[in-house]
Amino acid sequence: MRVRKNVYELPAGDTTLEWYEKAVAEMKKRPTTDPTSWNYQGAIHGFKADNKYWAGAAPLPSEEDRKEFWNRCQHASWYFFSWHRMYLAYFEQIVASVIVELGGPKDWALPFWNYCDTSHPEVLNIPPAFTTPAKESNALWIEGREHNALEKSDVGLEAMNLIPFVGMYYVPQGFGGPQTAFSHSGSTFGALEQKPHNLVHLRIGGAMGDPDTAGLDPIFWLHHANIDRLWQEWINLGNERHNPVQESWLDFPFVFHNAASEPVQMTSIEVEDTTQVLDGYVYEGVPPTSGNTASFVALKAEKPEMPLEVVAANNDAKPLSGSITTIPLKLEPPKKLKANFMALPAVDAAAEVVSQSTEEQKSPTTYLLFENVTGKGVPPIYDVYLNLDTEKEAIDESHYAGSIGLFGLENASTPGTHQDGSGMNYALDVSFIVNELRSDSSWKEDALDIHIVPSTPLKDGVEVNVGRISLYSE
Amino acid sequence: MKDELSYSWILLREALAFRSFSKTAMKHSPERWLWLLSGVVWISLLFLNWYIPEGMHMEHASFVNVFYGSATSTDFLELLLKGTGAWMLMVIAMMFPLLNAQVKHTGFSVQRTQRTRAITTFIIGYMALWFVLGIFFSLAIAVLELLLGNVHSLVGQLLPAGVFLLAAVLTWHPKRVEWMAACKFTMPLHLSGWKLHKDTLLYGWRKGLVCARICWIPMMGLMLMHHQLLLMFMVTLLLIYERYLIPHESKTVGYTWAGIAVCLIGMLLLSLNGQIEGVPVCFPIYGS
Repeated sequence: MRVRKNVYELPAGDTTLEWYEKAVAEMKKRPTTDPTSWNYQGAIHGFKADNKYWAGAAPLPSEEDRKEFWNRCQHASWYFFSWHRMYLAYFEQIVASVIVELGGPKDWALPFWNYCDTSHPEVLNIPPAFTTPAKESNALWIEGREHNALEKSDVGLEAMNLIPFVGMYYVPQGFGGPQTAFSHSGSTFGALEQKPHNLVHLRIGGAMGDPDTAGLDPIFWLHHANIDRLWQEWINLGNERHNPVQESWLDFPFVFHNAASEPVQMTSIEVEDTTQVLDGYVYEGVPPTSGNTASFVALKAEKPEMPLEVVAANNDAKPLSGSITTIPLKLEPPKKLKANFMALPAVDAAAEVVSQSTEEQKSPTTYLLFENVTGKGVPPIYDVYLNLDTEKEAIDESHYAGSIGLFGLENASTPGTHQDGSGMNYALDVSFIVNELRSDSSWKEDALDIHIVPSTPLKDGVEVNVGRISLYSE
Repeated sequence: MKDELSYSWILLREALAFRSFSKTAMKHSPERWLWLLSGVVWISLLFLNWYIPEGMHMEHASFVNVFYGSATSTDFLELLLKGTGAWMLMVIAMMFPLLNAQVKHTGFSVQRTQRTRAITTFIIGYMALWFVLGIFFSLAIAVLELLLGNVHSLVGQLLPAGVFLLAAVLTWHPKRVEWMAACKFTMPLHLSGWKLHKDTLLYGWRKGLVCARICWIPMMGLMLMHHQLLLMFMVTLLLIYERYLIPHESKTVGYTWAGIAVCLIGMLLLSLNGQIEGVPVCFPIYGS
């Protein structure tokens, strides 16, 4: 049984990263046609021939091979967690096998990067072994990362509060993502995928900022090990949290290559219990689930809840520029509606605490939904504020509503084999901030201003267009 | 192939298990109204087929009859409209179950009080596209009949098989996978007022275009077959299977279109040898 350890808590003299670096260097030497090569493993997640990170990758495997095994990552889908767990498991098996070939330990396990540990701010930095020395001789370094440190706002764990794995239509979100078919580049994210997953990808930028190149950055694997760990943590929180019970989730087959370069198939039900995944693994300090979670849940019809009601929308959003964009939302008069967010009772400030009770989580919710967001290139993270005083120069952080991480925007905007080109839908739960702002003297009952601020200047060739911004509430 | 079949069986079981037309379910899933409507049309068609001698077997509007004086232009127009009416019924029966994503998107993009109106306008836009196509196909068939004439009636009778064969071949068109993915496209809609109706009309029309890009060939084949009910039902199941139960890359439906074409040719040959009777033909004026 492998034990995946926190990269920031490795004991002195531990060789986990040393061997990882040696294995990565060895895998980078292998031709792209070899399923155990670094390029091949990265291309399973995503590949785009004309991207600069893929320059020099030729010769490539046959077209049939590429169609079957490459560009397989599952995003904006209920397969997001399970597919990445499978992907990591085979990657770990390959790296461990390379390490053994190089004379290393037999029990090597992929470490995880727990950037969510707010008690230790230094963990927001990419572990030093990945950044120093910043040159080709360091196999864990890659050119083009834009930030070597995350922001605290990127790594919040509000998503852990959500009970359902699959959300309603658009909003409210679920923890794990919407029910989809195979979804290489879907449109609507699950809550944990949005944050911290997407935000970490985009904050680091470079290869990590694009699904077609993310697997080429060695930090990608530690980031996803952490996401995988958070899935286990979420299950462990209990309170009726469970994975989907539908066979279409449990039995959907995905294909990979194992360490012997043989094609293999895996399904979600095979990875629910981490101790049963290949040789088995656990996260240090995180008890595994024994058996599949479906068996814990009585197969009864769940109580249907009504989807949220849209109470305001603006279709006239201009393309998001490199500076602040303000979009006004005019709220319909409450008398015309059966439900309106103005009628909401105040949300308990403790709602963001991870270990809250089920009852507290059923507080009324309000979502801002950015619909049909399309664009080109790798967009910056956008911070969203409500009702800012535009006459003040400095941005009032108490009006912060959340951040938008449009990871994979270009793919979602381009009609292709797996996506229709309608773009992305990005939901922000603004219940808390709306209730906070209602006590503000400047609050208006019939209008809400949305301010969208890019965290970094827009790079050349990057475009972001929002189809509609809407406000949904119970 | 085995995996594809077993997985689509799982999806089908789940879809059937969760089908419900309770009040709550209908609020959650407005698309079920369209399934219901489609079901009603199917029942009506069955009724027509069983209790009315000619059933859905509409004559095509014929230029030949007009030119040779056996029919007036009014008769031509009447047949054209009747044919298009039958075509529209076929569209409701066969295409409405394929609109889940769009109806859901339309329904939840607007306020509850606007939901029914928005979905209705979407449907009007969608049907408008198919209406135009229906008229166009009717006229195209009339022109074809004029061109093929009596001498070439066998060619005319082979047309439906040829159309299904074309559908099979186009399954391998490199862009087809992309067209299939586009089936679930969405677009931003205004919240209320005339802009909402403009948006939903346009959305319906655009969705019609996306559907027609893939489905026009089998639909035309069915028109040539005079909306033959059993074939219509089989094609509907295939379209639903392709839309919801198998990956876009699958070629299963292509093989099935080819199978239908081969069956039609086989039946035509048997009918020419007098071994079977009552095979639907493309141009009944000359065919029997």
